[in-house]
Amino acid sequence: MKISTLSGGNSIMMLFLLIIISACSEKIPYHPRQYTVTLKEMQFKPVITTASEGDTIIFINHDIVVHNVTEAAHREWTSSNLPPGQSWKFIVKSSAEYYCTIHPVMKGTIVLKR
Amino acid sequence: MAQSSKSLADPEIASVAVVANQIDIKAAQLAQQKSTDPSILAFAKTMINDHQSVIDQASALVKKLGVTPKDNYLSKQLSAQAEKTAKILSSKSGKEFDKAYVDNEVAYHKAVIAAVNDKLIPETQNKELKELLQSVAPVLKAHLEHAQMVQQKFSGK
Repeated sequence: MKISTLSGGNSIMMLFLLIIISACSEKIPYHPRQYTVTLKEMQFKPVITTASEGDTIIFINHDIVVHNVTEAAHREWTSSNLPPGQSWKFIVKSSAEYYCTIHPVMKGTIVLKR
Repeated sequence: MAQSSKSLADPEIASVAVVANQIDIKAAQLAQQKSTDPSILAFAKTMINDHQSVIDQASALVKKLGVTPKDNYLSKQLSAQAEKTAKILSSKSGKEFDKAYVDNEVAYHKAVIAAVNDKLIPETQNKELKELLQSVAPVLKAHLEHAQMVQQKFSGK
């Protein structure tokens, strides 16, 4: 079998490129992150949480009154009422505006990372 | 609420805190009896629950501290004013009641916020009582903003 030095070099180069391409195209597993939003002094802190799909946000009520965390546009999701000291775990699926239905001046936002 | 330069002791401050919360609960209970407006009813429910929560915490704290709330010029002044307001509100009905109730809630919360920030917190000696009053201040501020939100609905009616 005749293989010229040049075509041998090309083959090695092609193989190398294929390995690189295949390595790049493999999905790097995403490790969901966890964020905390405190309900304190009648505010969501921080007001804006930037997160990726699958990340978790823990809402903790550190106030002296009952609060809830409810999607603002269509009330698609809610924590139900959280008495002082209670927390609620939420898995991010999309961007959303949310508020406390008991204290409608309390508002927050989830921004989905692209 | 006219404020005096006369200082209050902690048992008197505890009394003012309890009375001020009780007054707003009574006004909200009146609103629940007289109003049919959803925004008024929701606001009244929040006032009852939040102010009761503050009373519960204040009561637990004074019990822990072994303090007996003591009547004083400010708590008496608050009660007397609240009685007058209740009479005026009771004489009204329908939208007229709703507007008068929410207007009073705006004025009342403004007055109580001023009293808490400018008199009660600075004059409180006990650290835990001071901290409780400091945690109540943002609740009152949120109530004022909520009341102003509801008030907009009735402005010009």
